[in-house]
Amino acid sequence: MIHLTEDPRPETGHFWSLFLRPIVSRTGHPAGRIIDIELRGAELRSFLLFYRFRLIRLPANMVANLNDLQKKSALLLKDEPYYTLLGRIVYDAEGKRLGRVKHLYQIDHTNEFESFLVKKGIFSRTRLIEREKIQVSKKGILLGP
Amino acid sequence: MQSDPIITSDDILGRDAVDPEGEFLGIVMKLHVDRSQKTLVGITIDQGFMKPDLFIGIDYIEKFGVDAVFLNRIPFEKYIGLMVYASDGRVVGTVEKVRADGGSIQTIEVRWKRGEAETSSEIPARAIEEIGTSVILKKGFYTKKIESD
Repeated sequence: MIHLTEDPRPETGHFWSLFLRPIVSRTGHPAGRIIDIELRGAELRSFLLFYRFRLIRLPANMVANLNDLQKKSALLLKDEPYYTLLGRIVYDAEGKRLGRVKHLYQIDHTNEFESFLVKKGIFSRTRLIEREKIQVSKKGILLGP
Repeated sequence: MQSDPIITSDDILGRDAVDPEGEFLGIVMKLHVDRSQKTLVGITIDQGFMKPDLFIGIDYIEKFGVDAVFLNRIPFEKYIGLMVYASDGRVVGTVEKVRADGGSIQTIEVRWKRGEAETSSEIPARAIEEIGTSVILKKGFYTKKIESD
């Protein structure tokens, strides 16, 4: 039997050890790379991420393994960040392809969103869909009836 | 069209194949028909460039939608090549094989580097925390080294 031992000493580093470190969501979806951090005094408040040519601010309390980070390991999130839904394909209950998620309407500064915009092509109209209509959102998005 | 119970090959071929997680698997390229029974027995999905075609039996098809064919089972072949992370975020390796029994995963074989050499390890399904775009393992797992034949 092989036991993959965990180094009991968490990594102690500096900004450059976190720079460009990948962040992975709870389901293993790539959620961006760290390009900056926000400190308030000695407290780490948030990360600035580069994700699909966008800059996203992610609260540090969403990271699950921040206190036992190993060298070169990815940062794992406790939940699925809402912005990872961008670009996903949306199908309705009848199997009609509605397009891809173009924008999410975030609720205040939380990880929740109330609705999102879907667009099929360059010349197609944008459709607004309420969050409650989502039935499955693991890889693609499937809407309920 | 949606109310009509009879559909043609035009309504199926060229449509997206979507698994229960909402993931786009490929395009339906072929229909398989039993010559003696005169029934549809499955479809073949083109997964894209340099990927093998995937045959899906009719029992694994949930419904034929307007633009997509929905499956009722996740094809485990799609987990091959996924990155595997330990609970602390370390990259363990990549999925090489998936062993399933009766529609559920039993073990996954992970290829990982040990120094300069590459080796494989078998990870039981109970050690897996989450499988999505990557595989995340539970804290404190054990792997059984696969002996090469």
